[in-house]
Amino acid sequence: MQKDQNKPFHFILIDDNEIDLFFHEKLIKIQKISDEVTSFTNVIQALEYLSTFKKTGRIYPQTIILLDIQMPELDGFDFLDHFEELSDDIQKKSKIFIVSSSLDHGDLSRSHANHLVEAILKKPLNTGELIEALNALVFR
Amino acid sequence: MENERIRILYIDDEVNNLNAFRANFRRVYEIYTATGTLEARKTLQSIPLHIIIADQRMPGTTGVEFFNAIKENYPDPIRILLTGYTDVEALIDAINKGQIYRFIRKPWDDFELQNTISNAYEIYITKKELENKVEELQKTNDELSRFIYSASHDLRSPLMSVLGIINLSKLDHSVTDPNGYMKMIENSILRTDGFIQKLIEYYKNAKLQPDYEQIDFNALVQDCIEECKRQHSDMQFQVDVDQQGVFYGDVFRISVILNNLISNAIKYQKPDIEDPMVILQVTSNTHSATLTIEDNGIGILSEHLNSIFKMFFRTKSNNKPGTGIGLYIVKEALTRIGGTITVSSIYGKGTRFVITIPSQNAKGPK
Repeated sequence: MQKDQNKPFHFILIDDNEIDLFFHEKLIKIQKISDEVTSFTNVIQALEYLSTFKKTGRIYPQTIILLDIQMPELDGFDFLDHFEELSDDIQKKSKIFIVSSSLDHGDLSRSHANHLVEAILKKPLNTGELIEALNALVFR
Repeated sequence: MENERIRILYIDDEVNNLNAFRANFRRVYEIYTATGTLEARKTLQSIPLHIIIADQRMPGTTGVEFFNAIKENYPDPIRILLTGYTDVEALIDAINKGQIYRFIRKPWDDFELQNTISNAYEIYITKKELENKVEELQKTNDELSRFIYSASHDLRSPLMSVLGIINLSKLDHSVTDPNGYMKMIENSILRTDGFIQKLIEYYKNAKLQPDYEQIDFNALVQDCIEECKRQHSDMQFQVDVDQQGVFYGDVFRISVILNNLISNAIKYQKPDIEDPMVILQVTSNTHSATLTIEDNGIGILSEHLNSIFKMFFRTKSNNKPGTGIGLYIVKEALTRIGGTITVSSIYGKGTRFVITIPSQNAKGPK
């Protein structure tokens, strides 16, 4: 593990369900995992937000993206496709967790097969599983 | 299709025959004629034909050859061969290639020919209807897939949100709930979700092809027990696995079967029992596996034993929150992988299920 304990995780949440966004943000804060949470209800806004880092170069060194799969218009898989077009720096500094209620074999195996996906977490998001996934991360 | 006239193409190098055919049948059928295969192909390209009649002996080609040449591109029209000779070779040839519906001896008998044409048309219509039905079925199947997919997401997603918020209320202690209402809500949601998951399980079983791989029964049984223990930690498990040799099976279905039977054992334990117990035995060799799941639960009345594998069957005497689909899924899953199940039970003592599953060593995965 090469996490810098002094620098907190910055969470980016992408989910079309506002209740889930609210719940995830609260959970992360109440459980004192991080105070830095930025939420988006759609993929495009999240991508715009991420791409501004390209200009300013100020991405948090340990960014965690919690990504829902099924969303209207662009879905989680579309996000993953576009994420690859972002700068290497952003890609290196951010890690993606899928958070979904899907039981669909196709959804899950596609997530599993995607090299950008570090972990697949089930809804409702569970503190223990989230921390476990964070502990398993290795930042380059 | 009711009022549609039967469209027939008749190919013969003898114009007299063509004219005789046309004269006899033009009021009954829509008739196209050709003196050679080139002309016949032009008609084929532009007219959706029901029936093609061809003379066997034509200059440069035979009726059988012609049928053989067009069957790839025009498989639908029913083919009838006219032959003036008892040309055994041609007949055998045509029969073996399976492209010809009937033979008519020249000179033809009008009545016989008309009968043959009516029958051929019947076949054509039946084939078409079957094709339409297959297409319809495929469409329904696709729609069902989409329905299950959206049901699994759109029904589950809000349920998971509710569970999340309930968890949140526990974490920040923001809800005072002296009567335990939140717990009741949570249990209700979990039950609903359990049912949705069962439906998805049933559907997956019905739809997915069995996928055979090597099975380690020890690991498989432990996985299933872990899964069930997460929900009911007080249940004791006694496990005895005796695996001799490599066994090939469908992991998904065997897990579904075990999970359903174990969760039933948990669900139907006696309410006041001190040592609820499930005994799991597996013996397997390279040919088959026998799995025994025995509990000391409430048991099943003998008059119900024949019905427990029916869909949505639930006994009236118990007030357990069952959905009546679990054992049905077990049975269906076993059917898909060629297994069998027997049950014996003493009411008030416990129940014992014995499952046998053949190994797929011999057949092997495709």
